[in-house]
Amino acid sequence: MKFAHIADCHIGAWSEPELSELVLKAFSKAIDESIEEDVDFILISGDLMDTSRPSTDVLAPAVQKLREAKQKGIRIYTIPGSHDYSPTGKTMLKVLEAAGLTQNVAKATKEQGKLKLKFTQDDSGTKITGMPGRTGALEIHDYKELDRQSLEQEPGFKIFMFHSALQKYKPEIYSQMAGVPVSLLPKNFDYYAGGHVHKKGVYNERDRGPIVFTGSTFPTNYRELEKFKKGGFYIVEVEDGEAKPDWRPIKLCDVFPLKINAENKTPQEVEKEIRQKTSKIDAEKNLVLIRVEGTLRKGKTTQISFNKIKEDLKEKGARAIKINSRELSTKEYEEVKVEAGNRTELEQKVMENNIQQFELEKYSKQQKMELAQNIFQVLSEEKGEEETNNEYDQKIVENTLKTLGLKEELEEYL
Amino acid sequence: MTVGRIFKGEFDEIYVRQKEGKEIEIGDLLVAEKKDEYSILQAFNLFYGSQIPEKVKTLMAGMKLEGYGKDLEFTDPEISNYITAKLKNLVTVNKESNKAVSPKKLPQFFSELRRIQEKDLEFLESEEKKKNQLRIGKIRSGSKTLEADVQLPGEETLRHHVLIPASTGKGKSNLVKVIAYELLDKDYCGFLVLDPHDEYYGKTSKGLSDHPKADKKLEMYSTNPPPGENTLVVHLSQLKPRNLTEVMDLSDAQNEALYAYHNKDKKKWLENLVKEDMKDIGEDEFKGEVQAKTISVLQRKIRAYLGIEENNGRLSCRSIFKTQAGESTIRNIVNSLENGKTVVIDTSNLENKVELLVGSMIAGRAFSKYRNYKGRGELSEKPVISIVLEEAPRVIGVNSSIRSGNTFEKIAREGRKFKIGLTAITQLPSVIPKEILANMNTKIILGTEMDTERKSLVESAPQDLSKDDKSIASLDIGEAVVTSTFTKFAVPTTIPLFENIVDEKQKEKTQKSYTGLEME
Repeated sequence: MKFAHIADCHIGAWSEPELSELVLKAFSKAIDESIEEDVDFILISGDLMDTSRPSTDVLAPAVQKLREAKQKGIRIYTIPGSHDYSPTGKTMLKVLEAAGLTQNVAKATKEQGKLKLKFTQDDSGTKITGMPGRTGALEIHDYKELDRQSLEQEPGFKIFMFHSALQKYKPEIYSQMAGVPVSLLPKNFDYYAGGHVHKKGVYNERDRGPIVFTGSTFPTNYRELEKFKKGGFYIVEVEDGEAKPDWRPIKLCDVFPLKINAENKTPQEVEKEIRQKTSKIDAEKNLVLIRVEGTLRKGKTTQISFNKIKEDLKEKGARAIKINSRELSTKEYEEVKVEAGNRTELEQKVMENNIQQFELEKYSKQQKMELAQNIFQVLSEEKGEEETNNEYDQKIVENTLKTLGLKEELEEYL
Repeated sequence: MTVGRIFKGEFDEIYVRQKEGKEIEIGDLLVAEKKDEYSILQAFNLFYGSQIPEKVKTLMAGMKLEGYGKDLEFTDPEISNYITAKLKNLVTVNKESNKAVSPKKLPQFFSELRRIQEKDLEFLESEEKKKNQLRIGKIRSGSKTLEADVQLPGEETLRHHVLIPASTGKGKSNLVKVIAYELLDKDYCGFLVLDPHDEYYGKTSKGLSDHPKADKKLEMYSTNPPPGENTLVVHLSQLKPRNLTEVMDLSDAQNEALYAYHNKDKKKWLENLVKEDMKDIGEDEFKGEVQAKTISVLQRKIRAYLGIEENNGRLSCRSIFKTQAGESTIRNIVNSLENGKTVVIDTSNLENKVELLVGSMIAGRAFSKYRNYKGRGELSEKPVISIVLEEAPRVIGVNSSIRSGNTFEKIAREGRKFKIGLTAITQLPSVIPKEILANMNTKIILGTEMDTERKSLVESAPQDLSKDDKSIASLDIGEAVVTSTFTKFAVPTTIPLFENIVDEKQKEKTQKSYTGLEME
């Protein structure tokens, strides 16, 4: 007997079309390889979709892929993950199940105050059950109510699907992720098909078969792209009742993660360094990741032409470029932390703390404050009901220039 | 209601004659009233008094013993012979404002004394004080328990360290369980219990897991956890050189070698070190800083300490340290504490040295995190963290089994600045350095039989306990004296029996709906 174990496909993830396409491609590749391997069934341990109701753009090709597997006689079993979950229960998984493409194995009854999970029996004789996952590991309360005895005493080859991080095996990269204790997984299952943690791993515990996390089929955020570069899944062969998982990486392109230390540099120096580093890589059809960190000695962060760098890499044929400058700041505009009771108070304090950064030689601090407050007021004015958009735009521009004392100087250009 | 009358004395030793038919016990709280205020006094010694000359009394006793004068009695015996109690003045309370102050004058001469009543203690419960209170037990007068709670300002008390000294069997664990149970209801404290006897969680008998909020507020780590709790396992990469130098006896060269490996690879340094094949060490491996012999000795020491074995290039560890799991354990524990949870670490299956190592890793991580919060001005939003240490002199004693200047010592000395305190339990307070004892601003003294131990407590108490030696020596199980900078006087206390405060009926009802599960 042979089965595929897939998880965290996150179809619909990434807003960039190029990356969203890679997510779909990775999923397709996992299904194609499962078909090639002639597996009896496929397990999808949660987060098949990135949201409970994904857009049809990504849904249609995904459904088509599931259909191909189905037509080859491969059964597909799922559990809801934290992303497929919807409090109303209206999820795409329900639609897929109604269409006969997948089967949700997270089914239960309440008996004598305990939660009794039902087994779904595959044609191969394998008994499958599982628990859904929720954001923040809220499923932990359901786990505590499980009728463990009935699960543990069930005879035959059985699989437990779950979508939770396990505290004991949580990788450091996901240390902030809420998890459940491994002791909550019922014992005596032959295979534990895990999802939710996007890093692969096979763990052995006494009285339990291998506990397996596949990782995602394609990284779902910048950090994962940088660290893992690719996704994958497992093909599991069962011999003499022993499950032997074999990881299948899904490599769609090369990923080049570049790190730039901007500490005490100028925007120009940083840009030069980025260009030097990008010139050395073969960007064609590949992914380029640029992480810029540190505090610039002078100048603004916007003076680094990230867009131009992107365009140039695109011209070189890069499939996608992701720039992460969240940890980039400048001495001229350091992040300010202020405490305030309301928005007006907050604006006031932010202004007070930063106003001296504006180089208006003839203005005292008080005058600068007044000017800034006046501009705020002008720009905050809302459009009147009778006003057209054009009239409104013109009014705002005029009033702003007037406040800045530039109206006469710029008269000829307006 | 009158039990006695003041007839002589001085400021710290007031003599009271006991009324016939009434009984004053050591530790009894008595009240002397004035027009606008009243004083609470406590009996600390008792002796006989008599108007009959000494010779007559001895003769009378002899006659009775030898069978003469069966009907012989003193005239007006209740007037002639009596009991005298020595009292100390604890506190003076203004009747109108209900404010208590330390006594600075004597009660009125010849005042009548009555037994204390609950209403006399209402000054302990002002509204502002009720917030974040830590209830320890009930006020005790002699051997009688009053219906008045002993409450301390929880956050401040735990931040300024708590010492629980007691002889064996006097109820130390019961007290800590009572405190931990109380804290499960509150959000102002993350409580870490290193539990060498596996007695707090309640695997087999009543324990903290019986608390109604246990599901949300209690976490337990054990090498053999019950379902729902966590496995105590720590990844080797989580150990830093500092952790080992704190608990192991290493030479300077060995210490330097640890740091040299750590600098080379911050994540796998320890694995690399214990797996290093001596033949592979080149001359310039560490630019000549580390000698092969040093590494060899270090390997042997670390392997023995952590219980590491190497088979065919793979490391296996007998203790809680692993190479396959536990990357987030320490961080998870510290996060839970930071979220005001109680975390019990069952160390019953661990060697003493491993218990101290893991305790010091958690304490160290929490300490540095809180220090950063202080630096960023965010500390006020965080709950206080208190670390319960059994046999505290192991780590903060004069001859502690881990290096002087260790994390626990650092917390004892400066933790209060960073909202981290110790709840130190010991039979031997005398071996804790004086300056650390003095830093422990609350002492919940249980029965302490040894004179030297009592002496060290009396000397370091926030209140004057010089007259309380006898009452401390005679404290029964469940009786305590709470002396704290946060109380006006050393409060005689009855600690409830933990089993009696656990009310299983309060267990929260289980939820009705199961999200994500298809219910049939």
